[in-house]
Amino acid sequence: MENLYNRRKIADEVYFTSVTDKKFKVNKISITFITGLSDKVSENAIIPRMLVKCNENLDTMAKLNRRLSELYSADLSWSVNPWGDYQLLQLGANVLDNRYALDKEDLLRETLDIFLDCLFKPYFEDGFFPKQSFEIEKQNQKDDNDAEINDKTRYAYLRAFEGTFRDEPAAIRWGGTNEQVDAVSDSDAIAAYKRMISEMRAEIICVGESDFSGIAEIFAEAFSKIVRRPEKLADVIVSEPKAEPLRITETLDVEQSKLVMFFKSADGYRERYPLFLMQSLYGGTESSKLFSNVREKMSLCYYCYSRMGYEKGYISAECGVEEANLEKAEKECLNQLAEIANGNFTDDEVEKVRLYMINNIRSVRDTLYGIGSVCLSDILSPRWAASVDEHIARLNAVTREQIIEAAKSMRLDTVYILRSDKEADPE
Amino acid sequence: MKKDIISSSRLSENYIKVKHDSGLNICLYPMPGFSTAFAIFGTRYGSVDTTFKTNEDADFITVPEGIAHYLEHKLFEGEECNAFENFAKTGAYSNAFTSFDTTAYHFSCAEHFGENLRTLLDFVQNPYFTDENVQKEQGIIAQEIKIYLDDPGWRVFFNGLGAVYHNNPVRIDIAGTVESIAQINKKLLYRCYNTFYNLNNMTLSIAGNFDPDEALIICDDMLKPSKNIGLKAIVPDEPYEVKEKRVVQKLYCALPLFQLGFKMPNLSGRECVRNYYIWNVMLDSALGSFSPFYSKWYENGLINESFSAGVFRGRGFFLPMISGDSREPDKVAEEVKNELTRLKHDGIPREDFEVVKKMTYGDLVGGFNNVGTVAKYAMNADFSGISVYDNLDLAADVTYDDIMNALTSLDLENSSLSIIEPLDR
Repeated sequence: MENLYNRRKIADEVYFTSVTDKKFKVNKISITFITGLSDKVSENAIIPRMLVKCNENLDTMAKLNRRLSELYSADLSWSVNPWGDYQLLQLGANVLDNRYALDKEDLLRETLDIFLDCLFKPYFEDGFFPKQSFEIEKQNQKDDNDAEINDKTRYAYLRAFEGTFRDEPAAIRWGGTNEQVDAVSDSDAIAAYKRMISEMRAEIICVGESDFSGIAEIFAEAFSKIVRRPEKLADVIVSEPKAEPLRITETLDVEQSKLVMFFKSADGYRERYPLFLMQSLYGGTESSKLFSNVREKMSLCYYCYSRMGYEKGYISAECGVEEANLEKAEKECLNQLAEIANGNFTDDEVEKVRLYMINNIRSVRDTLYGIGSVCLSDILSPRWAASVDEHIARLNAVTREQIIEAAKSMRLDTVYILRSDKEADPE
Repeated sequence: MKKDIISSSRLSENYIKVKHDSGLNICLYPMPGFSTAFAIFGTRYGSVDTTFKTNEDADFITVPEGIAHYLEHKLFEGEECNAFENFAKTGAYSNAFTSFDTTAYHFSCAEHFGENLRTLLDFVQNPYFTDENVQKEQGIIAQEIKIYLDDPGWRVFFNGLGAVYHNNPVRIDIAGTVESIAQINKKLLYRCYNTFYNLNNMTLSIAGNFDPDEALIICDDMLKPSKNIGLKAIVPDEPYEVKEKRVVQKLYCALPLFQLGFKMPNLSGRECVRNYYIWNVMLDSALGSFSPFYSKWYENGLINESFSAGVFRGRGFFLPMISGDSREPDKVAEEVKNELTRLKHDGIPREDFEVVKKMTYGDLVGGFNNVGTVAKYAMNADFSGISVYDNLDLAADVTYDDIMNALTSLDLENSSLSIIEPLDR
């Protein structure tokens, strides 16, 4: 991998990356711990929640939140997400640049100190996370698991995802099941915390106005006190499509039915840029096949789009329709993919999609979030990391024939239907 | 054409405010170092504008619910092709939104700014409605409405507005209902368009990587002068008391969702923005993340990270509200009221007030980090009759007495609690 981001090793499997851009008014620090999705997901998932609540020096949530507020609304956040067959545990901090401090405070340094205390000096009582807050966060974890149903579009996507990868680590719920969360003990949580800082690969990414000088050394010093025994991460599995598509149907008392289809590339086809361009042409933009036909021409739905998970080798087709139109929508989503595989698209359609993707690539550098997430993504997929100009050159090199080939590689793997049990008239 | 430079000593930045001869207000905010430009063309027209006339109309008209949103969908349609296709020719990202009091169309691009600005100004000024294309949209919008009918977060919000207000049209769902949109036709859409899409009622705001001179040349070329047609809208009388104290709906969700709204008189323009900061600072001081209230009830498990307190405001409505999810929403509402009653008596700690003012400043300055946010800030400020930097000044000028006066004036009993309870699966 070309070192696009000034990424450097500061401890065994701990890396520091910084991107300085003077136009920003905020600095962002994050650390992402990477581990395999396994039977430890639930205890791992609780740790980031616990760490941002207090630390040894600010030993209550009120004290910690107050100090962050005094630093002009500095923000300490956590997240737990999947990526391929991995679980990513992330802590982040956003803080206003020192230029805007009214009393010349060193906002970055003070926020960094809090961040490091949360990470390396958690508040323990008798060697464990405080009992009451531990139980609260377990409950919050379970509530978050249950809250998948609040957003029906996401719920449907997750069920289709699980069906597609049912025998792989990727299908493990990254927050664990409620039963698993219930079973996490005080000592499991401590073991998970220790595993996180000593065994998981860590990527520290800083983006913002600051030059972040000295910060890598501060992290290096902190990690030097940890005995590192890094976990060997298995490669992400990219499996072949099922011989027969899996069909999953669920019926609920909802107004709108949801259709989610997952396709996977067959025969090991992994050409990244043709796949990206094909997927965008299929359902990634307002000029795509799905939008133009299923929504605009047939008026079947409000949203109809496709997503791509290159790391797992899939694309999706998703829409929300009347129950009576489910079959029609499924047929048309399949038909539009077949249209691309049969070469039934114009050069003009391809150029629109290509330009849209290039616009997106050029836009990334305008937000802290964009820079940080692309940076992490490039680090996780080092084979594909490229400068903006290289990305654009590779996109521009994709031919019509390659797009057809990418579409031809796709096989339907799983169909998930959330059926509305309300009666509806067909269109 | 009148051109002013608006400056901020706090940010060491400035932008250009133009009163164009066509009647349009234009905000031009170049941001060095950014790769993209974001342009937004908005009108003071939203779902609350249901009954209106101009000097050129004989009578007031009351239009079907959801028509502003319907018009937004249809405006993308042109005689030759739709605007999405024109933006797609350059790779620009484009979209639009309709809120309670605003409809706006925007694009973002890293290249071909001039071409995209022409597309934006062209399609927003040239409606093309036919019976056929109006009819075609009904299926699409009906499905959009149904997404929200299944969304507990959306429902708790609108049910809450419906409980607070008797007549204020803010209680109406922005997209309308499947039944109301069935009444929308070409003639009604043109009437709404000709009333509200008058350049005297609109603002164009551009931020990021672009040349202001080029933007103004394009505006001179593209903007069709509008005469002021004396828009009049009827705002229905609203009783002092809330309509209902408590409303409940069942939907699929994990925990019950709640929204507690405290009914207040309407405010407008600068006064609305000033009060917005006063009330937000008061609510953050009383119930925010470092308050004793938040810590106590978070650690007790009554509330979680979803808990929030803030002000929902716009043209014709001003509503302090508390929302989140909890196993015991009624208890949350009761404890919020208990805490606000205690603070009315004991006073909010002055040091907490000072911390919240720093937070507010930090949040506002941090917002100037993104071209889209800046363009929207500038448009919204212009709609409120202020400059974008007035937000910083109005927030900085909030005093301790302001927040205590706000708290003291709050009628805790004049509130509505909206709850979504989980439906069994």
